[in-house]
Amino acid sequence: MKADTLNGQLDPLILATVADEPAHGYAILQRLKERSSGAFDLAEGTIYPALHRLERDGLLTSSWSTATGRRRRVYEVTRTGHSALEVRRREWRQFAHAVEAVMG
Amino acid sequence: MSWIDDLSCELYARGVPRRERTRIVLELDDHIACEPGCEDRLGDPRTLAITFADELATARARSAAFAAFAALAAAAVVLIASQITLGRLARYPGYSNGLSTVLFVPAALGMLVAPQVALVSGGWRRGGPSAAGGPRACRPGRSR
Repeated sequence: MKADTLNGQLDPLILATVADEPAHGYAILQRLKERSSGAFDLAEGTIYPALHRLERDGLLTSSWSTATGRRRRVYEVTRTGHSALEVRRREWRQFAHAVEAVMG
Repeated sequence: MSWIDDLSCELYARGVPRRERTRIVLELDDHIACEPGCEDRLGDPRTLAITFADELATARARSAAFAAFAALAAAAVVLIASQITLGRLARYPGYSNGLSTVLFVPAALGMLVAPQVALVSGGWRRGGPSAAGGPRACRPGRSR
C-alpha cells in the first residue's frame, strides 16, 4: 500500500500504536509494520514529523530516556490523545462501513 | 557525508532552530542505531528537513495569530478603560491637557513602536535572512 493511501490516517495510526504502551520512534514503526502485516509502504522518516506534530497538538507527550548509553525519546498518549483516538476510531468505523456498503 | 549529517545540514539550511535540530538528529540517530543500514528506508534527508521546517512554520504561524489576537484584545481593554477613566474625569475629549496627555503620549508611542518591534522580532524568530532569502548555505559537520 502506497504512502499516499495513508494521507490523513497516519496520525490516528500512530496514536493507536502508542496507546497501549509508550514507545520510541523505531519501536512505533515496528509495531505499525507488525500490526499491518507490512502493508504500509511509507518512508520511515515520515513518522518523526508526525510524532512532533502530535506532541505540539497535545495528543502525545514525550521524554528522554537512556537505552544502552544512548538518548532515546519515548512517546506516550495523553488523556486528550486517548479521547481524540476514540473519536477517530468511531469515524473510521462509520467510513469503512459506508465504503464497504458501496464497494461491496 | 552520512545520512544523519545530511539531515542535520538540511535542517540547518532551512532555519530549524538549534534545539529542535538537536532533538531531531538524536531521534533519527537512535533510529539508525536500532537497525544499522536502514538509512535508505528513512527517505530523502532534504525532503524530511523540509517537512520538519514546514510543520514548525505552520505551528509558529498559528501561535503568532493567537498572540496577535491576544495583543489586540488586551489593547482593546486598555483603550476602553482609558476612555472610561477620561470620561469620568470629565476631561474628554482633548489630547492636549492633563491626564489625556499622560495617557495619549505612551499610547501613541506604543502604536508606533510596537508594530516595528513585532516585525523585527518576527523576522528574527523565523531565522533572519534565510526566511526571506531561501535556504541558508549548508555547512558540513554535526556540531551545529
